[in-house]
Amino acid sequence: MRRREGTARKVPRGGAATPERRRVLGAVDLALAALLLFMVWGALPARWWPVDTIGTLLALLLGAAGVGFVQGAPWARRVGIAAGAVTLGVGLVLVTALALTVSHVAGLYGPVGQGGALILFTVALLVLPYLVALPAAQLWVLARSDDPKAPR
Amino acid sequence: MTRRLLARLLGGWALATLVACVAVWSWSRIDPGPMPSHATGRWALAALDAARLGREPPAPPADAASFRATGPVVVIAWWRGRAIARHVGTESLVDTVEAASRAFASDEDVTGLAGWSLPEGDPQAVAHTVTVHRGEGPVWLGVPFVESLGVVPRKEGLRVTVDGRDAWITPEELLAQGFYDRGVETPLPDLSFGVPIDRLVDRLAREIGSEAADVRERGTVRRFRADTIAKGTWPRKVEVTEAALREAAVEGARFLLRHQRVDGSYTYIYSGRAGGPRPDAYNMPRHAGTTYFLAQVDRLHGMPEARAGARRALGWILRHHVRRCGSPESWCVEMHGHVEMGSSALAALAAAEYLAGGDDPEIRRMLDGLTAFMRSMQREDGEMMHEYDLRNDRPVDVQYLYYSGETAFALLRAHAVTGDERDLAVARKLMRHLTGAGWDFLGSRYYYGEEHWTCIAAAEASDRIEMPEALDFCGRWAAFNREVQYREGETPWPASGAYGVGPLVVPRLTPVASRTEAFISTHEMARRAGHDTTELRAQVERGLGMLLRWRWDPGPTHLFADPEGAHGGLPGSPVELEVRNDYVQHAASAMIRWADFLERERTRD
Repeated sequence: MRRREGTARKVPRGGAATPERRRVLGAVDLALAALLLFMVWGALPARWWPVDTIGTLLALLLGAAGVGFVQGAPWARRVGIAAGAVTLGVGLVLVTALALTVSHVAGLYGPVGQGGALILFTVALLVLPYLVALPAAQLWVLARSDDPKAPR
Repeated sequence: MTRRLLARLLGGWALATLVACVAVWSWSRIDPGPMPSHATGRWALAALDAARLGREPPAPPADAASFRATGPVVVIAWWRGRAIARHVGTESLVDTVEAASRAFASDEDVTGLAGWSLPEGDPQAVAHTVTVHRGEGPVWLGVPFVESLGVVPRKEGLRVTVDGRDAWITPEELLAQGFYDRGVETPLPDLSFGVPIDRLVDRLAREIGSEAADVRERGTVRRFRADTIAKGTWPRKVEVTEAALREAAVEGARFLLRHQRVDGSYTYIYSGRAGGPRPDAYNMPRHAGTTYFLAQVDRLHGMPEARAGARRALGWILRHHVRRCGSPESWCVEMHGHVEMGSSALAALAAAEYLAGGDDPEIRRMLDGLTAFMRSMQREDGEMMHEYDLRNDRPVDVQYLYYSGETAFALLRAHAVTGDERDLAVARKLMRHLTGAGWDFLGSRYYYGEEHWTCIAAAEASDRIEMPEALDFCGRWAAFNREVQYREGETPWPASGAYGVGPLVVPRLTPVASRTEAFISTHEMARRAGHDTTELRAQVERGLGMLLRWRWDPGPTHLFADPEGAHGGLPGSPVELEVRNDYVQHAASAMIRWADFLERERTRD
């Protein structure tokens, strides 16, 4: 459908999320925080301080951003960007580490085969949506547009 | 942060990860260097033997002098499964063989051994191996799990260098000393994999007068790919023919009989390294299963000594382990104070198979008692109760892996021998439960247990029970397994025909054997029903090819304390030197049954 000449876009640009969007972001961040806490303290069979600490701090950061978004707090955007950036960073490092490990093992053993591909795919399914796709989407929504006229 | 920056960041990350993956893959890879010709390999072993026996060594073939390995050639002298001397030479095979010959012949600790002067071909003579270096690669240390996978089993050894001094351990030595599949131990021994890299580095460091800490500080650890020239070639490429299968099955039976005790019990786990039994708790279902195979090989091939062995084994159960469970007519098999259905079912199966080859009143009585017990353990829905509480004299309604399938098969074999319709009725109800409602849930098309006994029982039932769902179930299970059956080149090892989901874990041979037994049964059912069996037949023969390839015929004789005692055995995997009695039972039973099928097919044509 063609946009009519002279009609202004209603979609808010970079960083100026509507109350509905803020609530969605808040719900996603709170759900992700709860999931992370459950994975670290409920699902993992052993305690290992680097994973426990990073996982818990990440969950707290996401939880804070979630609460901020839901309440419409003025600091929510800043904390949301920080939470998204940290989560994305952890996700990218994790995916890269997995990919490098698979490359190393494939170099050693030859074709990693169906099983290896299945395991990698499963891990990617577990990691990518929560630690890469969602934080990247959050940053995208909260980031400023590259249009210098966009509201800040 | 702006959106453009975010997009650039993600794009840059994806590209950098991709480039890094390619770089790591190239860094980890070893392109194997050359191997000497077969003639040169034969010359090397002959020259070493000649030196041992004080004879003039043969002249090397024309191409031998120019052969250069990618690293040092290692010659090892073995006696009774142990490395008694080793010589790490140069890249020149001829120079290394000559130098090793001189070094060994001048070492009194070696020449003083009883095996040193025994003639070639004597199983107790000192044997040599020549390991040819074919390339090196890095080991990724410090990353748990990944570092344990850093050496490809049977293909690679380890080299530690500190201050210009090298220590080497070859793939043959790693196998001989049981280092493979010990890196990451899991609660299930069959799922252990990798090598204990820390222990190996520590050990190699000590060999050159250093410590593991020195290696980490100023040394290097590398893996090297190598192939070994030896008389006892293992694995051995064998074509799947009726003759090869019969020979292998008979030699399997001879292996079991050779290690059967006078009282009728078997060596439960035979250690090729020790040349005798490895202490372990005895297992009654496996005793009975082994006995079933011995009776079967006599029935299908004609092997009276196997039948006699089966009789001794049944006598051992009768004398020591038969109890009354419930009524006086109801007999069960007890072991370590427990009565479990698997022991009774497989004992009944062995008894029925034995009676199929000729009558024996005592064994017939035993079979009647055991089938009465099995019938009394059925639930309303057809499932069996798998335990019996001797103290309180009542069944315990628990279920374990395999036991229901074993019970169904035992009852059907018993019915074929005794004609007791009560056995058939119980088996019918049980089979319907196992192949119908018993395996019907969301996801049941994508996930299966070890169903070999169920499908063997289904084929046994197919001439007496109308049960299309059983063929459907077993056909689906076979098709599922075809998807995870390795083809040529899918693992680093010659493992075509094995089952697995990735090359990191060395394929186990027992699942190949037991599933092949089941697929032979499924093939039989499918043929009877007029279905196309081309894929099933290829699947069965790939599995049999795997078993023939890895059985000890004669196996890696230099790693055995008693090569004659080990002949005909089949270990649990290509990196094991131990044989449990049921490893041979399942493999040899599959072999003799397929040989029997090929014979029937041939004679019909």
